[in-house]
Amino acid sequence: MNALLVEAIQDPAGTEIFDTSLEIDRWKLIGNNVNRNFNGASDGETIVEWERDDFEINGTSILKLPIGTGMSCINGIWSFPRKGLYKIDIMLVMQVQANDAEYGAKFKVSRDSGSTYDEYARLYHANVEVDNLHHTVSASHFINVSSIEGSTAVYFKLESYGMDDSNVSFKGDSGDARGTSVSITKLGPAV
Amino acid sequence: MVSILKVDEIQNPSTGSTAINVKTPLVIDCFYVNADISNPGASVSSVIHQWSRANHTANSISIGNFPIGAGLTGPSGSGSTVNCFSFPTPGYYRLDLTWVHLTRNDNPNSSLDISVSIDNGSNYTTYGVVSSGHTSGTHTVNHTSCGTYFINVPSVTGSSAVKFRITFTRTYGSASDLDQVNGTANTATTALKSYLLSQRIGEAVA
Repeated sequence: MNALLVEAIQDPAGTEIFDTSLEIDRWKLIGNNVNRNFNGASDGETIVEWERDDFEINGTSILKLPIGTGMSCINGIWSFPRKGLYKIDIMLVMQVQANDAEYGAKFKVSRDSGSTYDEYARLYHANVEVDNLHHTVSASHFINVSSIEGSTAVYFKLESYGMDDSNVSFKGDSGDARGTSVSITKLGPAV
Repeated sequence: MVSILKVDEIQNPSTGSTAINVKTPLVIDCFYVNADISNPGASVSSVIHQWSRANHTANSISIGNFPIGAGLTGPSGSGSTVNCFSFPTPGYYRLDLTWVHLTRNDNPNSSLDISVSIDNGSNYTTYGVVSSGHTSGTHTVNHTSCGTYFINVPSVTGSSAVKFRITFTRTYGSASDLDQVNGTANTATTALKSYLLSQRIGEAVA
């Protein structure tokens, strides 16, 4: 077998078009092993109860995460292990017992090491009956991570949005059945 | 001048992990639910076995040309033990599940569950849940719910083969209530609704 050991491949002009450092990670929402409930109305509250998904069957890891160095998530703030172009897949599994026409989460990105955050995207849903409704809202986004340290480091976080009632909740893991999660995949070099 | 590099693998020198194996550069597949799957009944789960490979064409040209590389082996039969997907080759896979939920049922909690087996389908453990619901028995609505999952697949044959399956579960309602996984009879001529994407994104992790 002919194997080429190389950190990165550049085009003839010197632009990096491929690197060999894979990064795959997935984090799940946790909370009392059932539901993550905000206590009362919540808007702009950073969602902090995340842990790396460790799904196992009879002691065998099914995910083997992280692939690569892995993300860091401290108090709901994610930072990246290396520069690159990343895809972020967000999945909110929600349980609602309220008349609330607009709620969900904000996807916020910082390019100044967390000093300020820009609201990059929102994930919405609604329920207009006081019934125990379940639903899933998903969205995918790309982030170009051109810096991972210093004053220009790129971070992201999820915040609650427009949750007017304490009975609007993000559903976390319940036993082995994962609910709300964030999946992160590095697609290539930063651009 | 075009420069061509001929090599079996490209590896990271620091980790020794394979970034590209030219024998498995792309392993991508798409299956769709090929029928409307209705009414498993209250508090009943049913394994979905009605899957077909996406084959949509436009002007007689395939849109996805699935499978790309070796494809998944889809479920067959209707029993609970044979309804599983098998992987074509070891690797690290990403699965994206999309569910079009057509409902006219006062049932706020339905779900598609993805379950994984590491013993060739003998036993399954629930990995994740995509949920949906509705609160009216008189108004018909459609919802689309999606989920993304990763699976490490070190073995595809023998007693330790990794497989997975999708189960439809609902909590309330009678068998006559509309509450379904909305499918498509034939995606060669009609649009995808509920479907599954599979993509090999790396080598299996030992």
